[in-house]
Amino acid sequence: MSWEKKVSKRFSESSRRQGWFSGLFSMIGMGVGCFAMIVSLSVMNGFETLVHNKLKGFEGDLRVMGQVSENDISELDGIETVMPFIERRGVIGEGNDQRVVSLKAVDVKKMTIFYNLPLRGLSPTIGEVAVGQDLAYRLGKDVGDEIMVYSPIDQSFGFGLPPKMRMIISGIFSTRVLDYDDRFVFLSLQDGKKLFKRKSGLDGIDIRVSPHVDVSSLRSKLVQYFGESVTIHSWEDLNRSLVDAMKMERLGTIVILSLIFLVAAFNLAAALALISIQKMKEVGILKVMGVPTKSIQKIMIQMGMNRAGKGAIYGFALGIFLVLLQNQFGWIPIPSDIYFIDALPMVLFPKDLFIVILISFMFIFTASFISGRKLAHTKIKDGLQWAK
Amino acid sequence: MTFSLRLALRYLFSPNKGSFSSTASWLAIGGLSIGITALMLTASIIHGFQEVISEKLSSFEGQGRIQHMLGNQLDLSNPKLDSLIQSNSGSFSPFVRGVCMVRAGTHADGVLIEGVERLPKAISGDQNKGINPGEIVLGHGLANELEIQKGDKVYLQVFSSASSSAFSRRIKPVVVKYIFHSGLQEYDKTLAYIQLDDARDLFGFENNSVSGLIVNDDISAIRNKISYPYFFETWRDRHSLLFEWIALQRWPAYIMFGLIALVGIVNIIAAIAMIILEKSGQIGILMAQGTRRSELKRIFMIQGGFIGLMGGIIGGLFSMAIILIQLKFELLKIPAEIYFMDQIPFSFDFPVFGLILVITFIFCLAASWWPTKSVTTLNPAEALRYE
Repeated sequence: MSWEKKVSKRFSESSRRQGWFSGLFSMIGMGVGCFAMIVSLSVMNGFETLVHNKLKGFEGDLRVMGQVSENDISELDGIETVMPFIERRGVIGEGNDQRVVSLKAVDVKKMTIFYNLPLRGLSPTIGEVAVGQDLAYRLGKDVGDEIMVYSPIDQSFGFGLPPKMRMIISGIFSTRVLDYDDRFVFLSLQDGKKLFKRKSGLDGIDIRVSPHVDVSSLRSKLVQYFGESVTIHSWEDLNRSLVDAMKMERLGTIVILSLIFLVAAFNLAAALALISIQKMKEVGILKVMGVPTKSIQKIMIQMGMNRAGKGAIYGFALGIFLVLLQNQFGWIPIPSDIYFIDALPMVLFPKDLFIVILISFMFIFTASFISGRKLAHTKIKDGLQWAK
Repeated sequence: MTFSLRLALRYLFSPNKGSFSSTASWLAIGGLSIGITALMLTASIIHGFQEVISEKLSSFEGQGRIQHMLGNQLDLSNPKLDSLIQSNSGSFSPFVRGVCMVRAGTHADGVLIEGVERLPKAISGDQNKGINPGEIVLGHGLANELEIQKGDKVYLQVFSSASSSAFSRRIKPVVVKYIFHSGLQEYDKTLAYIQLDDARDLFGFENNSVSGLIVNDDISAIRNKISYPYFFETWRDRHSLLFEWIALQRWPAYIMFGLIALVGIVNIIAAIAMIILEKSGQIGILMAQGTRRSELKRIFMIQGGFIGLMGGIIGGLFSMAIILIQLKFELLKIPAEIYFMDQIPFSFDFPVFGLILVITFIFCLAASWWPTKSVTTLNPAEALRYE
């Protein structure tokens, strides 16, 4: 233990008799700040992970658009499965009750492997479709019902009717993310080719990357492989605004909750100011004995760390504890008709823990540094003048 | 009282520089005003969000709509409706609504068509502009998707008819007259307006039939007059889930930002306690001179109250400034696709602002009362021993 540490401990111990609560209050402030930050970041992460997983489950990791064939890709390393698709705006419905949707023709044999869709019923085969639950609800249809599918874009102008097909609903999925349950209809590639007359070939291929393979490196490999003839999107590109909004919300939360640290730092500064007034005399004596300014500064920072740092650690631990409890038991419920789950999701990333610790200690350090500076720069004469 | 007040002010505005009690008080004031600012801005955003949504929804949808209970067409010559319209002339406008496909080149998208006589206020501003036959007004989200501009020709295509086997195809070419930008994604991407008779023609309505009536003002008088088979729905009823969601989001936000104010109030307790500690010598002298303990307590209560007052004033002014700056210059933008609007919606919610100020002030008084208890146990001899 360095001597500065020892002195800082003495200083706080001697004022403990009367001023223990000022230390306690600095602890409370920092603790509340850390706790709030850990909890709110973990809730945001929870929702974010949930949405990411749902989006990824629906779209795969990468999407290659352009004239490619399935066989070109599936041989590459790091690819788990691929899903060729054709997508087209179309109409589904019966009689007057019709909806405009995105018809997505996919390789139906691979549907259950590729997509992570909570599906009621079966995935479609030829002559069948899978629709989202909102769409099914609006159309008043259920699994096994018949429905008409039209592709008006493929109708040639002037004469003829739009290509249409009578199909059976084989399954109803509910992703409960964005408006997917209202917008997408899955059908087989064979039916898609029949319906989309004016379209030749595939629109693109969705790729699911094997676990533990870096998506961005695979992406650059694909770019090399295909060159300029294709465009490659990740699911983040496809949902850019959602991803950006989540990032922004997270930054906003960190900034705003840092205000708690700021207010707590004010408190710490006041507490340290009190100690510096009380210890003016001692510091004068120390200086007479040849202690450098830097050491006094160090003592003050040490004291700040001792008080507020402890609070930060407690709040931190309490926050983590709450997250673990919630993950284990799911005590905090949320209305599942508005959000899509019934217990508050909480996920902690090591990065966040690091950020919280870093920010809180930055504030503690700055507050103790500023309030200690005056004391450290006390002139010997001033320090001892008031000595009684 | 004047005695306590004078001492309290002396402690706050101490003439000697770097006095502890004034430093601690100003730090407490700073902390509290940050907390109050955070709370006020939260209230302002929640209120603003609600206000913007309400305003946009009502300007698009009118105050309410009269429709048939089963979604059937309304026959305007029906005596029941006719008398209603006659008695409240001017406050109704008929509309025809339907879903169809809009095509521009190889792009196509579904669109909700509303056939009207006059464009809603949200689009035309105050002068209730009409719309000519053969023209369409659509949202900029839809326009982007179709890659069209003002003046382009698009095709509306309807494929519904009474029987699905006789698949009558109706295609109507229209010219884009105007592209509106509401900031509400739902409207910008799915809604389009055409002329009432065009819509009747497109969706196969009789000359005197409409989908419903838009009520433009004075709902309360009309509400009671509407009976089966018609029903009346306000925009608030229609979007009740959205408002429920806002109400639900409110509490976590208030708790989170309340924490900042809470830490600010904890600061006040600590500040007053430390000031008492630092001033214990002087308190001892005052006591020895015969000052009553209640008077001494009052000094510190006044100080706490002053901190609360200043915190409230500074915090209040600061948040007003932020709100005004945002309203004027619109600096803080948010992505419209996710949040219904393209900038952070601040607005003045004075009742809640007042409530926040009153509550924090009461908390401040309570917070400064607590540490003054130590004054009652202070022994003058003890306090003065080391002076």
